[in-house]
Amino acid sequence: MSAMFSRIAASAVALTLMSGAFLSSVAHARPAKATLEASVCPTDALRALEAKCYTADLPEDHDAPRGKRISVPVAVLKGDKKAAPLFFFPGGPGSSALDREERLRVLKDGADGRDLVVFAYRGGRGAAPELDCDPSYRRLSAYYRKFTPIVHGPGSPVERLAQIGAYYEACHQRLKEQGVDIAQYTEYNIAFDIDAIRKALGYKAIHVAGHSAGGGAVLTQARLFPEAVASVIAEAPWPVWTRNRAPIDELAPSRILYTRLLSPYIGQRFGEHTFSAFDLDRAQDVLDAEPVVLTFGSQTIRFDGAALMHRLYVDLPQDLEGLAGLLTSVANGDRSGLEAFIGVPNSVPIEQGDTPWGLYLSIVCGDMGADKLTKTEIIAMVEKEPALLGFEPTLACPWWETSGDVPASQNRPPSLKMPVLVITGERDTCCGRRVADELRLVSPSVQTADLAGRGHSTFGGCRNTLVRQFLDNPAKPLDKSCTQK
Amino acid sequence: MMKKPEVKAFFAAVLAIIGAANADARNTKSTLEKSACPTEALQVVDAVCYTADLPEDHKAPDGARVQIPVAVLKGDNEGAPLFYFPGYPGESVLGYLDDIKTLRDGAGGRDLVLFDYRGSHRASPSLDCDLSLGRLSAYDNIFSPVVYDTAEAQTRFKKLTDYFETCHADLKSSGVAFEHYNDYGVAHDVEAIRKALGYKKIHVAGHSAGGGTILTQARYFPSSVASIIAESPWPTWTRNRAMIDEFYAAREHYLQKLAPFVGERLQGRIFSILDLDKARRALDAMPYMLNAGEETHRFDGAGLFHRLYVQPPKDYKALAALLAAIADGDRSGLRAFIGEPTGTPGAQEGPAPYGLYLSWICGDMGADKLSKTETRAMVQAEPALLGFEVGLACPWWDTEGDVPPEHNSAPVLDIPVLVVTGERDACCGRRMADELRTISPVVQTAEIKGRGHRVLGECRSALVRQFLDNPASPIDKSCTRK
Repeated sequence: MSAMFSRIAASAVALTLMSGAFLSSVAHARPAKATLEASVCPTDALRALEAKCYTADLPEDHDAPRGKRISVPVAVLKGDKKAAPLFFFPGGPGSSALDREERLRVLKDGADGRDLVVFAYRGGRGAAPELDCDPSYRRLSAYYRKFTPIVHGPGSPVERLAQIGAYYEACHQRLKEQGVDIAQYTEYNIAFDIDAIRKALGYKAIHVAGHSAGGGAVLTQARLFPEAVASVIAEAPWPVWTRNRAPIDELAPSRILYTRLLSPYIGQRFGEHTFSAFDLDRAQDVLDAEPVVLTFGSQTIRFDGAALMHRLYVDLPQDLEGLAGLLTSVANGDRSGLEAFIGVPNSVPIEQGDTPWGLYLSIVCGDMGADKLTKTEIIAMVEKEPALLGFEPTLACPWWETSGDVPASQNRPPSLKMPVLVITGERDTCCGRRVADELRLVSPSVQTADLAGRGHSTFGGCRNTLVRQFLDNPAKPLDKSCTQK
Repeated sequence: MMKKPEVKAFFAAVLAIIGAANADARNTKSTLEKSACPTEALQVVDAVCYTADLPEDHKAPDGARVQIPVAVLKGDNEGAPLFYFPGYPGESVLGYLDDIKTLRDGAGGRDLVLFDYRGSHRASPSLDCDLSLGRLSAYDNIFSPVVYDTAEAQTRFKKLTDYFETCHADLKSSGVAFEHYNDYGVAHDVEAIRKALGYKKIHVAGHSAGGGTILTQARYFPSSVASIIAESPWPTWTRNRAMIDEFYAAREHYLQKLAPFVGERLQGRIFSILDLDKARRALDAMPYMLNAGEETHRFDGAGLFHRLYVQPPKDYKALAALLAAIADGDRSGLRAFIGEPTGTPGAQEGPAPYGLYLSWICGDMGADKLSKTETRAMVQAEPALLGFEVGLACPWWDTEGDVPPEHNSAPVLDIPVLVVTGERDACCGRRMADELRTISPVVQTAEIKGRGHRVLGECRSALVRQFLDNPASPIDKSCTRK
């Protein structure tokens, strides 16, 4: 696809492009307006790569362009190809790739001579404001801390849910006190920022690529601004319409993935036992009936059935045969392999990372809009399935008081006409090919590539091979041979 | 009960028996006798019919024998023939002229080989049991008392488990070795028939449970199978998982189909994806009571999921509107959705003899079953399982099928596979295509728009013909979108 484009003058110092009102048939009539100012690059990585850096000045509420302003850092890694640029959307949601030199080099390689545009999200690291909250979230999050008390106790599941709910409430209160219009920090509003930045940089159409929650954000971008998006590359996407379903329904596909990956070992002997299709369930039941209790310094952890599900979700073992052997042992009352599987605590420094937690929660909960479960409904769900505590942060969104400023259609899968490539990892417990399949139900122009042996991280050589091919001719069927290696 | 065909002539085609590489040392030997065709449909299409005489236990060739009808619809294409495996498990296609013609059309001039399964209605023996399963089964009776009675879940479940125990006792007293009536026994029958008919290799196509049996066929006899066409497949390794996981896979299907209507205003309400859950809970909290004659049917959340599973909606937008209304306390559309009970259905014949059906679905599990306690706990946690699959009650079927331990693993094959699924199939749609995508290096998938569990028709035939012509070459799937 040859996209018409224009680029800003290389010598631009303070460039202001006031685009005319762009009335997309899909986005509503918000004026997407940004002012770009050239700036010193905010990270060593960007300087090492000789990026051209800007600060984008944007309205906090795109419906109120004369209201409060926010800013985000933007960087352009110029290429030598006269073709539409590639915008990259990191995951989190709310994280940033601006300080990761290695990551940026891989992305640049994938862009294959096109301009690569990277940025921080509104509210993200390097933006103003940064939506920080208490960094202790890292010690609660089931993603970051191996033995988070939310999964490993003490207390009942509902008490532990209350603990995470209390963090959400405190973080929400902090942002509110800072005068942040919390409802505006969503994937929906980010799409308006990016389109404004696109215009300000003078690109007519852009390719968009994103990973995880960013892989969801590129789909929202394409849905809202179809005329400005030439093609979409969604990598291990975690889109709004799946993550905002009832958590109990989202837990199920991950369980089905485990059973599918383990199904080749059914009937195989492991010592005295034969692996059964039911051993995953049975091991969970056995651990619920009698959890493993371990002490590490001052922390006592309880490893029950929910903890087993948590571990599989966030850290699925590479050695599936070994996992089948372990599950069948546990199901049959032999726990000798469990301690090695459980492992030791990881180090979780309490510090602000590349994702401000206030932004993270604003996006995770805000994109639900008014369409949330109630606290009572979530409590009932956790009582029924405590493993939800080790699953996704969407669980506690009823404790995040603000509804994002998004239309009800935000949680609908997009019907896209432009070419879409979905790259997934075969072992991704969250965002594998089921998401690609779901997207294909409503967007016929979807190509998919499932990387053998890979999990949620799809970055690497094969990803770049696919991306380069796709960008060269998005409508052409890809050679996917690298995915099998 | 249909009568077995009268055997008229003798046709012997006993070939040397050589155990296939991956099968065990079972003696897969069949004697084929030419016979009158057992159905009018087969006579109309000029089939050549046989009765296959087979050992009930292929490891004991001198023991009890079983007989099944086999029909060959000769073609003018010299290529390997197509063997067709119907579903349920245990049903027959031999009496359905239109289906036979469609299958022949799909075979693209190749010989089409049809047969009834061991233990089925026209086979000898036929594994009959009391016909009351027709009333209890949530598949066969849309107001099954197991789902809709006013008694609590475990009491309703007991109706089903009692049936399993009674049927099991009846078969046992009949002397049938019913541990051999399953995918494994059938695969050995078909391999023996293949040899007796003198075919070196065969293409295998099968629908639903039959789409699973052909994978078993290929697992145990890989060198005899040229290609595989799995239509809405329901393979052993998925149906013999914990049923709660399979139930949630079906829920995922409903959510996918409802997702395009999220945020839409439908009959005055904005539809939310959470409305499926909310409607379910609203119905659990206050079930809808429906009086029909002397019976009262209770339609609760389990009833809702039962309906979605066995009667996949054609109009998901209307379903979205209904769910939004129920979630919001408006039940005015519910009666039309539930439908009118047509009175208590009496005992009725199923597509397969019920004894065969249960021997098969429970027997394939081998020793790998949940316990009664585990199953009761699962029903307690999710009563909607009562309206899902009948195999839920297999712990009450006391006999283990004679199958190897690896029988329920996903097979590893090196044979081209085509998976044909229906867009609206909650059981065996695209997720099964996903399950099969890694079993062989060459797996093609095709999903037919607008179709449910049944995919037989022109598009299916067009896909199958192309695939049979060159199984390794990508097929043109344009007909699937019409």
